[in-house]
Formats: sequence, structure tokens, C-alpha cells
Amino acid sequence: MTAPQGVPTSPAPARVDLADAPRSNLDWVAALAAPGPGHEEALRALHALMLRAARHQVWRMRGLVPGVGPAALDELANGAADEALVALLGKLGTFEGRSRFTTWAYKFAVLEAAVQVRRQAWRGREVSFEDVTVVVGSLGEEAVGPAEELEALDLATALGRAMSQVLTPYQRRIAVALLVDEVPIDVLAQRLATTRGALYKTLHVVRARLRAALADSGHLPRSRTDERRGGTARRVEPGPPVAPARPVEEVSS
Amino acid sequence: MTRRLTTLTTGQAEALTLATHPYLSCDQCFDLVDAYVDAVAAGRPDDAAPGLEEHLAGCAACAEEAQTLLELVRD
Repeated sequence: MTAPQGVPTSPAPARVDLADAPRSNLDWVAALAAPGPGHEEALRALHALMLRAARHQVWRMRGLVPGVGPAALDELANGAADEALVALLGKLGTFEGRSRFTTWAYKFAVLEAAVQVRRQAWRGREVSFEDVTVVVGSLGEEAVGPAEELEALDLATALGRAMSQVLTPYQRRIAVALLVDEVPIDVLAQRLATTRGALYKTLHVVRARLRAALADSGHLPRSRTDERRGGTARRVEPGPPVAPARPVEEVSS
Repeated sequence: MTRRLTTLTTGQAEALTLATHPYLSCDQCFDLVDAYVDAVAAGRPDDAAPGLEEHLAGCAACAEEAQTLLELVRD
């Protein structure tokens, strides 16, 4: 496969040499908590870990920012690692040892790098946040056969009706922005001056309302607690780098 | 101005109607994901906290970050 123009072709960074790093979770926390023997070495090792994680995340998501060259991507990773290091040190006291310290540390850099790549990818792009009238009359793809097409269209039509009837305008806008327009949740949170958590909570309520409406109309099995039935919960497994998100397009006005 | 949405793909319909109970916030997911990833890497995926896998199925950003974390741990 040929990399898009501007995408670095070098592999993601290799392992970090942790020869001078603390050995155990307790050693890490003790060395980082206060100046003393091993403090500087631990900080250096931690920064190397953060940089590795940030570079790995940036590398995975590089397809989202095809116009950004290798040097700028590495600068982005370095910035994310620095920010993540500060965030981690501020929360060092919350580490409870439920994971390896290195895994706990990685997640700060992964989060920071991912957020920065998403924001970079959507910089300068408009996010539509108008209210949406949902009147589904066709499918976005071909079904495998006439019967399946009718069934899918029936479900999509019922879903569209439910979106119009049981969601508030705000809930509808959030659902369409995140799940139809595929605006990254961090980007939408930034544009709306809210938080990722608040948007996910709204999405959770949207899904529950839509599932209940579709259960009422006989399109989904009724579930007393709306637990796993009908859901597709899955475990994380390594997958290919994420595809670039679609730009927001006006369906019609 | 109001947009008019006239098509929905199967994937969009599934994403809109995904069952994500029990509820877990993104912040709670962040708190729990490192231990979960270590457990998955060690072959103990059933150690997932209630709601964590449902959250990862319903939150593309958290899922993306969890997958990266797993790759780093397994490397």
C-alpha cells in the first residue's frame, strides 16, 4: 500500500531503553515523587516512555493529517509527551498500582497525542451544528438483496422517525455530529465549549431513548434494562490505523 | 436553518442504537483502561470492569486510545 503524500513512511518508534529506570511500581512512584537518588533518571525514563507512546499514537492516526510532514508530526508528538508528563506528575498520587506503572504512564501520552491529532485534523474545518430534520427515504449503501433492502429501509425509516420524535434538538445535533458526520468527540467538545464526558453522556441518553422507541415500534427486542441484548460490545484488539474521518457535508438545507 | 437528513447507513443505524448500559463515563474509562489493557495482554480479558467494554464499543475515541495502549503493552 502506498502512503498518501506527506505521510511519513518510517516505522513507529522502537522500544525505550529502561536500563536506568525504576524496576517496580513502588520504585517508580518513590523516585518520581520527590528529588533524591534516582529522581532525574526516573524523570528521563518517564519522558522517554511518554514520547514513545505519543509517537506511536501519532503514527497510528497519521492518515487523519495527510498534509502534515514527518517533522511536524514529531513536533506534535513531542509536545503531547511534554503535556502528558506534566499531567501525569500532577496525578502521581492517584496511582493505585492496579496496572503496571508503565501502562498507566502510557495512557496519559496516548490521550494527549490522540486529542492533538484530532484537533489538528479538524483545524479550519467547519462543524455543522444546525438542527436536523430526519426523514430517511433511502439507505446510504446497497443491501445484499431486495428483502434485506426493504428490512434495512424500514429500520432506517423508523430510526429517523424516532430521532425526530424522542430526541431534543440538542440531542439530535450531538448524535448527528458524532455518529453521522463523524466529528471526533474531542473536536466537538472544543467547538461547543463542553467536555468529552458530557458529550458521551448525551450520546448514551440518545441511544437509550432511540432503543426504547424502536422497541415500542417493534423494530428492536424489548429489554427491561436495555442491557447487552442487541448491542455489539467488543474487546479491544489491535487494528489498522483509523481511516480519516469524513468531512462534514451538508445533506441538504 | 435546518439540515435535512435523508439517508442513514447500516453502520450509522447500529451506532445510533448501540446498547451502552451500564453507563461508564470517559473519565471512568480513562481511570480503568490501563488495568484492563494489562489484563487483556495477559490473557485475562474477563477482568473488565462493568461497563468498560460497552463504553469502548460506544466511544470511538476511547476505543482508539485503548487499542494503541494495547499495542504499546504488547510490543
